Amino acid sequence: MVTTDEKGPLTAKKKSVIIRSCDGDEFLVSESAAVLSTSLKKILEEKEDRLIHLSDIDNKTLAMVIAYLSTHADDGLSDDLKRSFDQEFVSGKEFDVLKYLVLATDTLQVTCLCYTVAKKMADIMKNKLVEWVRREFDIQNDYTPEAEAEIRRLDAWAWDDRQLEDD
Amino acid sequence: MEKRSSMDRLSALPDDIICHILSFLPTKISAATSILSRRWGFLWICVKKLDLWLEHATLPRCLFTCKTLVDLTLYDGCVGMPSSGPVFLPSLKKLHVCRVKYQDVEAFPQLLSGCPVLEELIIRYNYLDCFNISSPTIKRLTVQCERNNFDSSVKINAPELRHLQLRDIAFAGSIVKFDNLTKLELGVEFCFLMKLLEIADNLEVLILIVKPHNWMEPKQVPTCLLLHLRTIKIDQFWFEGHEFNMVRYLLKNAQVLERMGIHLMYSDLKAKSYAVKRISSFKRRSEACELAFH
Repeated sequence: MVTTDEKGPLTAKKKSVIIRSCDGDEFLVSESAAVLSTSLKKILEEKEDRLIHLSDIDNKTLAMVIAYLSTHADDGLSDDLKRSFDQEFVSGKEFDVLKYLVLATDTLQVTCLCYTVAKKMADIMKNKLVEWVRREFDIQNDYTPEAEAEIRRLDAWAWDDRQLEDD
Repeated sequence: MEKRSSMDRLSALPDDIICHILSFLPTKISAATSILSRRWGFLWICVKKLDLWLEHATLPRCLFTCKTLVDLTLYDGCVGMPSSGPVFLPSLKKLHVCRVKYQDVEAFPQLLSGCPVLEELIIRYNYLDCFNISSPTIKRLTVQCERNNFDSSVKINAPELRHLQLRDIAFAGSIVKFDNLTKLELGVEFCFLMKLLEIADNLEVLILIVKPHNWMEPKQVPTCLLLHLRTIKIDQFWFEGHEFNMVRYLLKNAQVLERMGIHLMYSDLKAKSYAVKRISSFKRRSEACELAFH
């Protein structure tokens, strides 16, 4: 595999691409891995030079996405192995990390990974309390206490069996 | 934790990503997120497909004015739909209601009138005795009631209808002709079959799905039999006299019939071979018609 996450100036060889994160670090990625991202594929089709600058994806997130792309571009791996890689990939990751991942995969249009991450986030959310969800999504509660009570009353059906419980 | 450079932007994930995440949650939980903030109050309804199990519940009113909802399924509701208040679902293409109770008879027609692009409607096991289905846009309609309950009836006013399935319900008529109807699946009394054939001039496929009760020859041959009916499928043939009479009538009058498939319900070989022989000897108006027994 051509992929490396070594830092420092890189020169893209044929069939590879350099991707620069918003922190300025550069990653060497095989073209076969890069084109699994619909956005990167489009960029590569349109421009000559092999350096792509992603101004809104940080180092840590980019490295994870590239690891995913490289694994999925590896023809030597069976589909089963790739599937179990996907499960491993999201398991145990903090919600905050998943937020950056879902945003990055949405920007890069890596549909499969975006799906896996969004599903994982939904699974985590399922049993949490309102306060937890507000905190993790940085949601400012802009209801008045009266309005909130009214919503709870109106939508009582959604709360019947104590959804969004704390862990 | 070290603050990230893009933290500010992240404080609000874009709506479509939130909707994507919410789409993996059961509707009941995704709807509960409306408590989070005013913005989230509307986010959960951007999920394009909703499944609602109602159980002694009143539906949130905002559900009936959702601009983005495409596919709505309502199950097992005791209170169900409101009869007052605005209903406007401008994107709804498919509506499936199963065991939903209505506050009054006006609730369902009102719901339909608020669905300007509805294409598919499925109604199963309802608690209304008389159903009035009026929609200028629906193309596929299924109405199914409890077995052998012919107290329920349905009136249909749907000129765009292409595919109609009625099961265990009385057909109370239509004020328009079903000029676009090409496929009809029926599990109803024969009198309703005739009533339907008379207003479906362009029917091509007829499927009879349950055992019929009686058969009376119509006075006039329905137009569809003369012009368009190409396929007839009889899902249950019980070897009764009136069933033979019906098959004889259809074969004698269907001018462009290409195929009649009959599923024989008894496995006794002698009875089977008798039925096959008898039906094969019936005169066929359409010479090209093929008979298939299974």
